[in-house]
Amino acid sequence: METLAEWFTREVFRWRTGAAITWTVIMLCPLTTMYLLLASFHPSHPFQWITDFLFAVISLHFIMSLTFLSLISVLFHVISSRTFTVVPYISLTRLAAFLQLCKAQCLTYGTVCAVTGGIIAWTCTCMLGGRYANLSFRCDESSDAYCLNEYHLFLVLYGIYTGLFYFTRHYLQQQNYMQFPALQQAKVFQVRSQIVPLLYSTLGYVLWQIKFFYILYYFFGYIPRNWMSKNSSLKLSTVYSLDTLYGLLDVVLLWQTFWCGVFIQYPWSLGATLFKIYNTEHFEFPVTSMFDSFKNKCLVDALNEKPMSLLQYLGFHDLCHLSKHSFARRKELFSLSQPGGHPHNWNKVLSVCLSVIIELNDKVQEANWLVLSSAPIRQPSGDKPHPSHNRDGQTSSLHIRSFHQLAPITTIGDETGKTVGQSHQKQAVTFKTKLISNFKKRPIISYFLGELPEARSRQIYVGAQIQIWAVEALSSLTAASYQEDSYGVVQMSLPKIITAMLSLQENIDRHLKTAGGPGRKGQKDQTANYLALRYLLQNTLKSSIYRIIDSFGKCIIDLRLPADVEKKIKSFMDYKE
Amino acid sequence: MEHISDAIYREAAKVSLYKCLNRSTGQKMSAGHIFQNFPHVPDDNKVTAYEHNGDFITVDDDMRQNTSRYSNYPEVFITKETARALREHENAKSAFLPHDETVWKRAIHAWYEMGLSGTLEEIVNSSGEVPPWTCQTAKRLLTFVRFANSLHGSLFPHLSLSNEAMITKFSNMTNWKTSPLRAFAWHPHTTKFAYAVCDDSIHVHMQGNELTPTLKHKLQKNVADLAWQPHYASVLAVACQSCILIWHVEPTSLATRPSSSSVQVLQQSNHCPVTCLAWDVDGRILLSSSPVDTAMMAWDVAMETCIPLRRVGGGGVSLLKWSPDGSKVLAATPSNIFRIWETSHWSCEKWSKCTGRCKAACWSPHGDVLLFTTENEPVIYYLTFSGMADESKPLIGGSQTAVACLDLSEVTVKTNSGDDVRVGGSIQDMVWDPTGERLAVLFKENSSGTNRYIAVFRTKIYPVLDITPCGFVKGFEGETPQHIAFQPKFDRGALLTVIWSSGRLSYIPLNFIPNDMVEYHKFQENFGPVHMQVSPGLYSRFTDYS
Repeated sequence: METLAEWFTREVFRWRTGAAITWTVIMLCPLTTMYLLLASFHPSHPFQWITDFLFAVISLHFIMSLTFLSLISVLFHVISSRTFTVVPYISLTRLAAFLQLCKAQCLTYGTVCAVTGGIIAWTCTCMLGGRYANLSFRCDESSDAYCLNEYHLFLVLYGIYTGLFYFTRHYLQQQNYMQFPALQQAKVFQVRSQIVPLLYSTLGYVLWQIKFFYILYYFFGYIPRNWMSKNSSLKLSTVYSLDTLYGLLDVVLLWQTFWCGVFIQYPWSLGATLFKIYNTEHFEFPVTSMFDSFKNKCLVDALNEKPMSLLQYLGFHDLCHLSKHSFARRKELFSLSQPGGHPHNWNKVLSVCLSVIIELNDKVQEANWLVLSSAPIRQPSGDKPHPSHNRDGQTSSLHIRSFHQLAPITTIGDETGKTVGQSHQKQAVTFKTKLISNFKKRPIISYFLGELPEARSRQIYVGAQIQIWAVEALSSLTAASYQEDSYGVVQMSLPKIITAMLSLQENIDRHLKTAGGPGRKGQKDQTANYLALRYLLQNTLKSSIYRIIDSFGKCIIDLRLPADVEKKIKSFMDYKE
Repeated sequence: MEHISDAIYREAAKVSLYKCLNRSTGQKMSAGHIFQNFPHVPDDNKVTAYEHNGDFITVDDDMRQNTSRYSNYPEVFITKETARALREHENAKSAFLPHDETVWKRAIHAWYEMGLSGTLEEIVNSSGEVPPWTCQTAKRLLTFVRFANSLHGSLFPHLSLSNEAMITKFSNMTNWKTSPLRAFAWHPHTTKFAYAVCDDSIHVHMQGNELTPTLKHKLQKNVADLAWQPHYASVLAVACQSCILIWHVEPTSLATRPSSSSVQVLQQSNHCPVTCLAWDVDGRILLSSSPVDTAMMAWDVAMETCIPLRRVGGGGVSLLKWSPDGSKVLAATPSNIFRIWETSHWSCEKWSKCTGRCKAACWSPHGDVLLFTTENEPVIYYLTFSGMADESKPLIGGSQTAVACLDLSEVTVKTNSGDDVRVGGSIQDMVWDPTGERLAVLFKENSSGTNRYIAVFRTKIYPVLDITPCGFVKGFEGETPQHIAFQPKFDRGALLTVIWSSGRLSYIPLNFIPNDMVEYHKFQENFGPVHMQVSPGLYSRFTDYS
């Protein structure tokens, strides 16, 4: 039987991707026309400009270019579709961030971007015609010798450069990260609300990156030019050369380059946006299935589908949607099996949700321990009493553990005095570490090797979207169960749910306090939305606990909860958290 | 879908309304005005204290002490003196900048703070100091800028108002500009509320806590609306002139002035002044609206991102009301259009051909009835919504026509002592209590220049909507009501809070037993105590099951 992932790729992912690419290609027609209109702008002869443009648009040449561009674009987006991810990549150091670009998959994609960029720029030169049209031109009216057309070369090189820039941005600025929207609007409105801001950001971005190309070309422009002329036996023009100050001050060239850059970037970004919108759309998985071939393609299977994270994300997204908006599907989830009368559906969903919550809880707890153990321990001095942290069992166990971790280091210190050989070895080791730490302190090296602030904390919460949905879904389902769960299957697991949520909430609170870095102020970074996921998780946890308490009211106290949980619950009931 | 509320429907509704009245009051009614059927209007020297056994009990005016106090609820009285002292500092800029600064300098400051529209507004505001032609040009430019910012086809006059005038127009406070309190909000779960004073500070009061945190921030100017986040202890959203502030007021903290580190600032260009805020029932999404922006913003507060929900037409969004069940949102525009959004896929239905701008609206507890009123007509309309038939397809299910159900036009009635007073008129705001049993209506100034009474109605939603008179609420002599609200959680009926023009906040408990509770008890009497063997609490089913 085919697996859920195979089925999903064949039946859902391909269709969605196909639709996104189709729309991208459809959008390409008006975009190309607009590009031609803007790029061939003649301020001195507006009438001629319009007529030239109209003739160009209805010419066979234009239609062929458009077809060619569409083909290229389809190929490009098919290749791009594999580079998107729902879990952003967080690198600990800047070097690691650059190294991720050197993986095989990334390198291939980089090459594809560069080549496609070059090809699109080449098509642009064909459409523009005039002095950009060909790579070569007759040096003199009289002579038969051909010269290298540097304008043409300039634009094609710029296309390659833009492609490379797009590629680095795609990975380094996490443009390949698919974020699920908070509201599920119709796709049309999502696209409509993003088209214009995307255009603005592309314009700004192209303006920003174009200056680096000019600088690069000014200094290194002769390399590709000479290489070209050597390999194609074209002469270098004696009339002009572009890598001079005068050559680069050509306003018309700048205008054409700018629009060429926008024309390469914008359809790509638009295609990426469409891809994200299509693939983050809500997908409804069946809660149970009567058909044998679909037995392994239900909601629970999607929730468990870790290797294909998009599928898992869609599963949790659907679960969250179900818990809030769908009475009929909730009923199916709360139902008992026939025959047998076991709440299998609920139990499976619950165990998956709890396992992801507990998994994160463990990670956060571990990080908290690390922070605590690395913190300097205050020496008992004079009559100052020990700072007592024994408010609850957890913190005291933290102390025990931190002492354990410190213990081996002190024993090494004792042994050094005993054997000389060991001490030599140790000296060498310390010398090496010193050297490395010194080395790391150098400005440029520390820039690349130094750990990025909060990187570890970010790494913990990188997939927190799953937990956010799990917590939200559990709390909504629990709240709904008060009215809808006629067999009481949810109440059985209520203590478990509450305990898991409270412990995660407590750990995250502690983690954000100790290792949260400078707080959320000052990190207003529009490109890195996923950084705020931890705050969203923190908020979601609190409101989810409140929702459960709100719907069950005083009945919560009837549950047999551990004493510390009950204490916490009481403070939630007073709205004091 | 276009919906028409035409005269035929309105006539039919009146007939049905009178039928309802006949049935419920049991009197033979003359074809009189609804206010003629109200219980007596309180005298000038009386103050309404509470509702008891279906009657509003009034006390003498001189018993001032008792009326603004209710059990252990916080007592609020912004005295005239403090209010006046505060009002002089109304503009924070005037407090800090030397007064002889020219208008051009101020305009430059405004440019740095708020950009082009800020500059233009500064010029329009100080029309006395600039040549008239400059002022005119600035006004036109401002209209143009705002018009260009809000994508739509026809010009709307409200776009040329200054920020303050615009907030005054669209706020649910009567006389927002001169009122000592400018916005008020109850916490959805506990006895806690916040109000904004005209010096742009916000005070938070909690039951059983003497401490009243005061919230101030440099961006907190011209507060038009407040909203507490549901399912959260103490997160308050504040609609300001240039942004939305999210205050995290620690409930256990002892600080009276929370620092600005506990604030999140949510800003979006072309989305100011923000005049209306609405949280969804789960507290996940905050909707904000501005009369100059055709999009309402759906904020994910923790992520500090927003998704614009834009539909062309209407010129902006002036009023937002989220239905209590969370399934629908009303978004009214400054023109004769309003929309109802459903919240699972965010599609909307447009209602046009109203007689005026939708001024006030309220939802029934289950979100199946919407009452609304337009700006220039003292009539309350109602719309019914059917439930979802098919869950996979989002459905708003609004009825085809809006039906007029109450005509509250201005009439003269006699008080207990026989004096003539004018009551009714166009409606400023109306609120429905969380049980769906009482409806309070606040009026605008009528022909006599004031409107001292709040009309309270009894309502029954099932099987058909039934609205009957209950009584008038009146304050001290000379006080006019500015704002009304019901406390969302109240055990003994409903608690109406009224802010009066004197700066006094009064609590008027309406003591009644909700209808469904009555039905439940009747059922128990008739069929015996079905659930008596079952112990109260959760484990009843739990133990049976295991």
